[in-house]
Amino acid sequence: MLGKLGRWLINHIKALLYGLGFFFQIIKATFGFIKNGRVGRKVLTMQILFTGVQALNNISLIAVALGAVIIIQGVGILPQFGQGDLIYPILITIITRELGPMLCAFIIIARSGTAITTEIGSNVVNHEIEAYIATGVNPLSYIAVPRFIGVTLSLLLLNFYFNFFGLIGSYFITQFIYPIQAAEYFHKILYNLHLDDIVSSIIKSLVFGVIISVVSIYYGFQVEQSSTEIPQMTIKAVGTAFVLCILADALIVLIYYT
Amino acid sequence: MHNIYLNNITLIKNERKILSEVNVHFPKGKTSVIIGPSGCGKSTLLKVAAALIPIDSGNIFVGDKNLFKMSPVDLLEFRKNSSFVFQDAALWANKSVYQNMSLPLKLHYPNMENDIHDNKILEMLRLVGYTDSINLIPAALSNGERKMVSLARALINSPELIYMDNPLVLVDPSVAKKIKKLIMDIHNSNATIIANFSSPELIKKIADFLIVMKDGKIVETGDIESILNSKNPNTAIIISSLINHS
Repeated sequence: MLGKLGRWLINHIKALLYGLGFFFQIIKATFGFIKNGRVGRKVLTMQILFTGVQALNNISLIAVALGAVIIIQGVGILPQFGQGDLIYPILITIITRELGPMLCAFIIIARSGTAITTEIGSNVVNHEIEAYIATGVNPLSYIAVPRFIGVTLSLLLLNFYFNFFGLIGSYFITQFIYPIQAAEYFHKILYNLHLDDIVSSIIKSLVFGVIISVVSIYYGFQVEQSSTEIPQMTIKAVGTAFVLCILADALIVLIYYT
Repeated sequence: MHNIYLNNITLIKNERKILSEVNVHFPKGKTSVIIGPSGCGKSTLLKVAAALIPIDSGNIFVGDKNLFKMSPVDLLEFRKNSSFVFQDAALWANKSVYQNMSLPLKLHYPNMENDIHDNKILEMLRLVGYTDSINLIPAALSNGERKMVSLARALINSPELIYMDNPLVLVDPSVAKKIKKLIMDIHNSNATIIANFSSPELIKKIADFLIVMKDGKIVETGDIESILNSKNPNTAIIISSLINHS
């Protein structure tokens, strides 16, 4: 029993150290890519297009709907307690600080995280990675780094979109149900929106972007030789990315409030 | 390109020794062919010799330079002068035929003019007998066409060292004939070839040096005459099964 526990612990520590080593290799390769990444630029552009641009419809729709729900619920309930103006800090806390980065991260895990793990896993199984190495292309620089940069930047951009549509777009939807004066609404939003809300939101989206991209790439490269490993690794990547994003979110909130 | 030396190579996968203390050298300008029963580690040895897969212990030397300790510049130069033909073509699935051919050229000759670059691609595709559109992706090609494009990609930088992992497998006789002719031409051009062929006819025609393998170990190495007349019982069984297979 004790021996089993020891082996389990050793294996997990080994896996953690391997994962950290992989992360630092990607960071190192990122500097090389920035200096001399001519061959991989197209891959980066395609990754931003897929992750950042093609997810825009989903993100905008969710942001507008969520913002509208919060406003409608808040405007309906809060005035009964004489706290009508609380709707603005609540809206900012939910949209900007918490759910904005987190929902964007979940959408990116579902769309791009799975796609990255599957694609890299297929590349491994079909010996395409070996073909890159044989040609002289470093797979980390050409495959991992553009996806790492692309997903991280895209998550940051999607978070901006989410905030834009969540705070502004939802106002227009709400007008059909609970008309609020535009001047009053935007004045109070800006009054309640502080720099640390924006910084916290940016930090979260960057951290989530790093987690999703590194985890998805890592599990893609964990595929060894069989195509049946691809869905298994994809499931592991999704699960790990979800858990790590939520843990990172809790840690950031903890640091912020202490 | 220099001689390639593999020293004490061991590779373990899932607690099974795929390669066990392999010591072998591949002479410059010669065609070395690895033979042995199915699953003995021929393809793995080929990939290890090209440093495509990691090993557990041992070293690979290109001349007097350790491949694992080469500077990035030297390693890129080695890759520029060598190429690998995969058993299953291994074309990049998300790239067209043109892009598959273009990547090695762009990587090693970044300043090549566009018209020279494009002509070189077309010339190579013509050489291997590929006549279809260069804008097709690998999924739209037949198995034989994929093999042809894979060969063209391997030859685009005029490599001095070519690794070939059974390029004749799963192709119809007409394509096999074209590929054999191409391999003969490469052999006659004095390039170094390290290969795993299943065709005894091709082995007899072009092999200068044979490496006999069994269960991840080298049984024997030598020129074709000495191997064919070998008294080693393992070698005799492998040679007889190769001839019977043909």
